[in-house]
Amino acid sequence: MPADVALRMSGVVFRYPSGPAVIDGVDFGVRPGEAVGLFGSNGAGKSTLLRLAMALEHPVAGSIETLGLPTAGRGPEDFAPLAGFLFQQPERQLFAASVRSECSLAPRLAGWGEARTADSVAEVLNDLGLTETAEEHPYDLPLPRRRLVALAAILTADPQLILLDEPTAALDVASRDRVIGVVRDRARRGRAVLAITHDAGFAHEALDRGLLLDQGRVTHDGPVRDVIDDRRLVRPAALAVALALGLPPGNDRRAEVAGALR
Amino acid sequence: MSLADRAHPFTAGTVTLALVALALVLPTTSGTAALYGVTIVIAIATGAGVGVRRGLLAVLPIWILLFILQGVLGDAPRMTAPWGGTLSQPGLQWALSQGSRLGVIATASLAFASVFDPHRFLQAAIARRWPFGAAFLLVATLDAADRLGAQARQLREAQRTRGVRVTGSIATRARALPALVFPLLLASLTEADDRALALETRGLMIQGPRTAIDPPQDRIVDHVVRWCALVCVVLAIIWRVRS
Amino acid sequence: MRFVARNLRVRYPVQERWAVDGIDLEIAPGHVTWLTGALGSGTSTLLLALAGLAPRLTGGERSGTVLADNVDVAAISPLSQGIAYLGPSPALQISGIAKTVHDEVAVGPMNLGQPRDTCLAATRDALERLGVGHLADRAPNALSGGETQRVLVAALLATRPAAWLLDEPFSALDHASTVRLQRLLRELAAEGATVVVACDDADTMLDVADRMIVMQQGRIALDGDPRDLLASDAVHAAGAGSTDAAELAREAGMAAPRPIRRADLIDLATRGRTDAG
Repeated sequence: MPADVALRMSGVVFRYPSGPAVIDGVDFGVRPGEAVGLFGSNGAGKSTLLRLAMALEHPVAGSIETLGLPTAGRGPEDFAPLAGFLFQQPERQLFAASVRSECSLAPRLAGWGEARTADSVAEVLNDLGLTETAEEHPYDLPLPRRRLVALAAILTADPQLILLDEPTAALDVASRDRVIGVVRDRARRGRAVLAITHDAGFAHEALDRGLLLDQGRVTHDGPVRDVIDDRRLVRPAALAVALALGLPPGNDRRAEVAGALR
Repeated sequence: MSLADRAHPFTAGTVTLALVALALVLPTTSGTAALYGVTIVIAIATGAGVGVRRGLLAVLPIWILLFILQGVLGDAPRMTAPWGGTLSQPGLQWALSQGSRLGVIATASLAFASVFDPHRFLQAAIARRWPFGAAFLLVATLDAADRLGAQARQLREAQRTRGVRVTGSIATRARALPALVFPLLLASLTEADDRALALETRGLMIQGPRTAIDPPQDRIVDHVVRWCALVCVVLAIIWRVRS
Repeated sequence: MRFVARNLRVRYPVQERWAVDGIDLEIAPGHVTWLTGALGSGTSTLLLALAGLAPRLTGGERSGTVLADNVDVAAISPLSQGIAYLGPSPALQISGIAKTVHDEVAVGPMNLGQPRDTCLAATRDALERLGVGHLADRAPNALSGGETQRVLVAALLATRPAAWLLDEPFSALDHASTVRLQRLLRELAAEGATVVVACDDADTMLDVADRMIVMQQGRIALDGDPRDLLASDAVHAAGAGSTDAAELAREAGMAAPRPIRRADLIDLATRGRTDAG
């Protein structure tokens, strides 16, 4: 695993057979420890870009290197579990009989021992507030919890690159806060995160950098708070107050702003 | 738009059923062979030509089998074959007539399947005040099959992203299959449960007359074709009984 | 349409506890009523019970009564009574019998046996009001999550319902579509419909709701004006969340009543005045 880049896309072009180019020349990289947001209108190709990164699709031109390996000629199973992928509708993609076994799948397939797997599962379930539901069947849980289970299932094998498609959609506020916590924690531990989102609050609290995808190209690549403004997304209260108080980036999240207000 | 698209949904169904009935009923070899030719012509002319190729692919193995079992290994009297050996005359005749029957059934069914539009069919059924439940069941089953396919694909992808290997040797693929089947079954059963409630909210369980939004036109031509088909079948039955 | 629930209790087949545990409630037409509460508080179940879908189609049991204009809701299909229900998983409610989005939106009036002209006119209006006219020729199962949600609202609107029961209708919508739906809900209430929305996000419902009901463990914990409740401590005590600004103010130690809008919070902050907790 190279130290310098978790994901690199160079000149990537993608189209579905007999369709226009959905991705039309994309270049960017994500380094370990970076939490990057991918923004853009519906149909702009964000999900496709994420799928390309996981080798679920392959570009017609350009190259993609995920964790140092070219995606050409490979499939997602070649990148798992070092890369983790959360689908946009994860609740219908669970396939184990209990939350615990769902979360134990990826580590087991990666060859982890029982003890190490159990520890990781316990930690992730705790981080996402799912410990009490460990023995329940995922389909017996309410929708927001099911979505958290899907996220837990990709985190237990400690992926170096975490790809998330709308991780906070359809989540209640408490669950959303836990997702924010988990993403920040992973980034702090040196994992790379690329998340598609239109949730400005999540983006502001959990991500550092924002990419804007428009007409198949990356038209903006900079601090996430600039992208939030650019997209005219509803400004999170913390950001709005931080700007009003002149707090610098890095000191503009809820915890810091709340402190400044006291 | 092909003829099949413009015709009323019931017409295509009636013609297909008539062809199948004729294939089963017609007594002579030349009759069934001619019927096969007619079926091919109808399929191509109405824009369902893809059924011809698919039908051929479906029956070819059986034709070969029939030819060998009946033609080569059949009873006397025998005739000389082009390559020097002998072929059974009655055997060949039998192979030809049964092969033609199968050819008609396969071609007609596959041609019909290729042009069948469940939504148009449902509209036609509503316009004719057929019991909605039955027609809906057919359409819903096809829709459910589509959903199942989509769900299988999604599950497969999700499993691959967790590291399940699905490509490669036959053993690997075989191992990966149960991992797909059981969750798929559960997912579709769970969804079936939720679907019943969902469909109720859309009014699909309401009793009473419905309005056809876009009823397909039932023209004179459609009526004529359907009656002709019926008459042909009746005549064939009479011919069969007589001979 | 006026809903009246008396002594309502609803329970699901696999569970012992009552999901809705003793509710007396009257919901009047012409207003937007907002239901909220922590996960498991019973908001979804209450909506299902008001629609007459629980326990009839979910299994389980119900005690007490739910009447819509003095008729037991469980007696007839919701759409026949003029009740539009939108569930938390919109994709499930796509009928599967329509080839295009246009026909999908027409399914409701079609099932009600309304005259063809009425169906078509209602469909056209609904597509326009939801801003999904450009999707009219698309296949209903080829839509994004947000598009599906909007198409479903259009499909329900085409039946011109007297009551709306919506469970997290904003969940897949982007900002522009959210604003559009907020406006539509206010219009529907102004036109005399009964609108009940379960939504977890206080900022979205702040300027939409006339009445706020916070549920906790199957019962009604709070019932009143959204703006008053959101500024108070009561909402948090009941396990629900307030607006982004109010939550930030609470974290900063400000006492109730707290500012519920960003602008007010910024005002307070820049004037250098903070009330220590």
